[in-house]
Amino acid sequence: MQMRRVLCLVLVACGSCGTPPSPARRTLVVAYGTDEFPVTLNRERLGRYPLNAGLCEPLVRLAPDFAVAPALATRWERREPNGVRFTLRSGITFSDGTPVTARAVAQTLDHAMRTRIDYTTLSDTSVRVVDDTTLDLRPARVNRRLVEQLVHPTYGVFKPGSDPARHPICTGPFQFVDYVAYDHLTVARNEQYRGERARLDTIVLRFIPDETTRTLALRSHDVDVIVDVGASNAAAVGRVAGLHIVTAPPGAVLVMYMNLNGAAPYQQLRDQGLRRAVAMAIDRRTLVTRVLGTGSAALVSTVNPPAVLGPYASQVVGIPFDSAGARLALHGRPRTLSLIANPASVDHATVEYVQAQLARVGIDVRVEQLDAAAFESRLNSGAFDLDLEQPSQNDANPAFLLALRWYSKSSTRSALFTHASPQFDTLVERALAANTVDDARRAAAEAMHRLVDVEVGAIPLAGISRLYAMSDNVRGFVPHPSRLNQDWSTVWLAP
Amino acid sequence: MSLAQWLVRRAGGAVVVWLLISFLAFSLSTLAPGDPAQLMLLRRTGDAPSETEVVELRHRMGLDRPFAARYVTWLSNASRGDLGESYRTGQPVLTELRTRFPATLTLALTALLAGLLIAVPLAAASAAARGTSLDHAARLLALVGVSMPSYWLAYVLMLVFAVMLGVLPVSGSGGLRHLVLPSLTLALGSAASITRMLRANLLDELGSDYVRTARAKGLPGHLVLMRHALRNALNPLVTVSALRFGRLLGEAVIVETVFAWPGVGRWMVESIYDRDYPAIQGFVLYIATVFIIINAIVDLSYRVMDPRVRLGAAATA
Amino acid sequence: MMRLVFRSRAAFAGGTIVVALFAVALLAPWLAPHDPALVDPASSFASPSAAHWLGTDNLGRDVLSRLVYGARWSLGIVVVATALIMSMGVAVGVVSGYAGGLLDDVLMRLVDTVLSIPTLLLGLAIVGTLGPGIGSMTIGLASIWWVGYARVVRGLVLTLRERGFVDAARALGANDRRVVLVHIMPSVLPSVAVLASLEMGELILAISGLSFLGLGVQPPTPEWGAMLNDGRSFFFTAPQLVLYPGLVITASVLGFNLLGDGLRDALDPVDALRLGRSGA
Repeated sequence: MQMRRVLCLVLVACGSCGTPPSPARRTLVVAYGTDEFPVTLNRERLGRYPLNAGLCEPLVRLAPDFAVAPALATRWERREPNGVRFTLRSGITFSDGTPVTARAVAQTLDHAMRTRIDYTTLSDTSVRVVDDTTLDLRPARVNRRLVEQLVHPTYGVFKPGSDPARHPICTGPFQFVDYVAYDHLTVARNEQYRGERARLDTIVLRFIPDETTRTLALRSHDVDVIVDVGASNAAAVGRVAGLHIVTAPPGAVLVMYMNLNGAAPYQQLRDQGLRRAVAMAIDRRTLVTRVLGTGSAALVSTVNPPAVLGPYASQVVGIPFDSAGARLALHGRPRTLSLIANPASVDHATVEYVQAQLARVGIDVRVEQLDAAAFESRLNSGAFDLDLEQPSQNDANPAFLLALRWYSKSSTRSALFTHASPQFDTLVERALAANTVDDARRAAAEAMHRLVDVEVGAIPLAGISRLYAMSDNVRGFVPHPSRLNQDWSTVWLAP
Repeated sequence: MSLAQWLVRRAGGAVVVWLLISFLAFSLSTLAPGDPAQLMLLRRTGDAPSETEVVELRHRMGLDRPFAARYVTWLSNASRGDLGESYRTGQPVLTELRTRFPATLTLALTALLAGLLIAVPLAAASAAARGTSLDHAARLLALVGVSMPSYWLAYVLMLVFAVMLGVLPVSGSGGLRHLVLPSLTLALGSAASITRMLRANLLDELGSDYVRTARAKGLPGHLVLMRHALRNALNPLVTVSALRFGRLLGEAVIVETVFAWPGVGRWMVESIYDRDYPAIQGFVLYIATVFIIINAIVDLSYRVMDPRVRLGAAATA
Repeated sequence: MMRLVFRSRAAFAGGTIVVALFAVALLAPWLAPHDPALVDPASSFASPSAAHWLGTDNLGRDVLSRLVYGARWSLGIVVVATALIMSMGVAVGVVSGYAGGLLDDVLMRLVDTVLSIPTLLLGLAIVGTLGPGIGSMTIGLASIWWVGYARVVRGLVLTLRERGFVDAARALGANDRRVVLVHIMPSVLPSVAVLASLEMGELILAISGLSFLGLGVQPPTPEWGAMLNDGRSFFFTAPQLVLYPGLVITASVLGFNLLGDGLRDALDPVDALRLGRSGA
């Protein structure tokens, strides 16, 4: 005992006491929600999206500060007029020992396009293999944010000839072991990994759809970690001896979208005055502290996590809470608005709170409870006034959400109803065409300022953090704001 | 009526019911709001499709044909084992049902067995000790049991056995241990209901002439109960078990969701959340087929085992 | 003897619970201490106090008031559904039993069809197809639940025919309508009422189950099943939000079951036999 303490002190001196004397060889069990891999769109992305098990790596990865960091590629440079040249790390192999080449990357990108899971603007002619370690990408349309988009785990590179739907063979810190739909996905350490090898032997990712059951599973030590704990359960888990909560930096924002271009009877929010009144009526501070729960929510004014905008986030200030002002702006005229909410990400309490807040200024909100399919169909047909959602930021593109939801040239159907003014479009285009990330951030912040503060085309309600509940013997977990980019290779289990 | 005649009539009846249920299942999709082609494209591409894409797919899926024609196509495919593709997963519906049904079957059968194991002794004891505090306690327990929502019971069992005692896993599948809590949740509700029924049957039997005769002959009370009443009261137990089994499959939907049991009930709920109509239709037809077969077997077993049951029973499918 | 005493005492207890619940539903505006929809996040999760006897929920709403108003929704839905079920069941059952022949065959085959699938599963499929909500849930449940009634009513009508009621009335010159309304209905309705009270408990559980799956009543409507479902997120921090609606649901189902059992036993033994032990 004494010896170990001494040893530990020595190790502290070398700055590595956090690590055990020898790597603990154990299995970590992680509980997730519903298994979404069987869904058509995700079928070909087993272990990559919407659950990233650390199997595959893209060319570049998303650092916790939303910056782009090298992964399979070590360098990337602009190629005029509209291309990027990637240089791959040399001498790396897939988990089965075969070398990684530019051709494998090209094949992965091609697969993403074929299965319609590509979020960039690539086309058949965009990808060109120069040599084994060099790859040129040239999007079909001008897209200077391509590199920032490619950090998404969907672009995780798999070995040509391996089946990405059944047995993906990749380069990540873990390798595929087995998958039983709706039950579990098991991965093991990749001994061939290019970097520091994972500390765990095995991770079993279990699918448990019911949140209460997940929490009970943690309490009974059936599982070691739960991903995505509700704020209320988190508060309870935090009080249990032997368990603790880890809060990630905000990676999503609760956003109120508004139908800016609707046809009757959904045309009311074309009126900017009314939109401003709605924004003024909602006390966001109380929402954050009392309804969403401190720790999981933070006051923000941006529609993305502020970190994505870097130093420019402060340009977006938000509409201050002013109940009396809102009432005054409405001239005592009672209004009725219809509200839809994404059932997958927004809970009843938030909806009811917003409803109650608007009722106080004389806006009667009709809440329509919809299942996922009905919600999408309402959203895409413009049959709503207000729409609550919680979009996450999973790449490094500061204009990602702006270009998706409020840009008039967005390919997303619902943007027909939510797109903002031509002036906003110009700013978004500037962000998309900016040569440096810094310029892009600045332009995106300007666009967002216009959207939120000037046009009141959307109301950011709260920054949302992912909560992880885990037992105390889980060590080395570093939370990433984007759940999709969470790294498990640093985790180990104390004896 | 000879057994052969009976079998022919019985089979005919079953086919008619099967056809009706298939019609019912197929009509569900026409009741549904939304355009199936649009929904399918939405699921496949993740974004709302264009008008031309929808029109084209509607044509390819034959959705522009009249209802009757579509029904006939669907039915003939279904009778060949093709229930169509799930919108959500793009997999054949029958494959999904076949992969997931065994888990549900295991759960329901275990629960039924456990329910009977609890209910039969409890009912016998309760009937034998009629009017005593034991009887009252058993009946009160059974009453509370049938009055409790199953998901509520599920959480209580998890809390006690997994969290407080730490003897059983909370959820998932794999070993026998994983089966205990979900099947117990289902079993307790069943047990309560079977106890109530069986106790009443036993009391009826105890009041009947032959038992009174047996008593008059000087046989001790509990012996009478065991020898005569229980045997006769157990007869309808087959029917009750078949009925109960149907209820168990229904309740399994909730219990599977709570316990993360990868059965067909949870799959159904997920399909419903996603408006996956081929899956919903296929599920209804599949379960109906299973039940038509089970009911036919139950009827046949009566016919063979109990000489008192003769014709007339053919009406029940 | 003991049994009868127990039965009547139990039935009395059941009746008391049921009457009390209906009284609460009717008098909700006078009984509830607060507005059940009044959101006040500043006082969320308050412990029981003089102002809030059962404390407040996650949005600071008074739990007792929500339970009291919940009686209106929960019982209201059950009553509406039961009325739909009874009218369909009685109509089909009487027609089938009285007319006989081909019509009887067709109707009973339909009944068999619906009965060939577990009620909850078919209900789930219908509600799931129509989309979540009070309306589709009530329609979904009613459209399958009536078949059991139809079968029982048909059986009762057949018994009446066997006993010669119908022929006697016809011989006295009554037309079909008169026979049905004056001679058949009065003997059928009491049994149907008993059946309804036996099944109401089941119906309440079915409704709360659908709400649990998110397909039934939607928040903020203070229906008990929806309240319970909503409270699940606070299972560990505020278990009373699950406990109270759960207790109220259990108590009301218990009340209906006790009442139904008692009424069934009080009924003519032949009819009681027809109703079977389906309340179990």
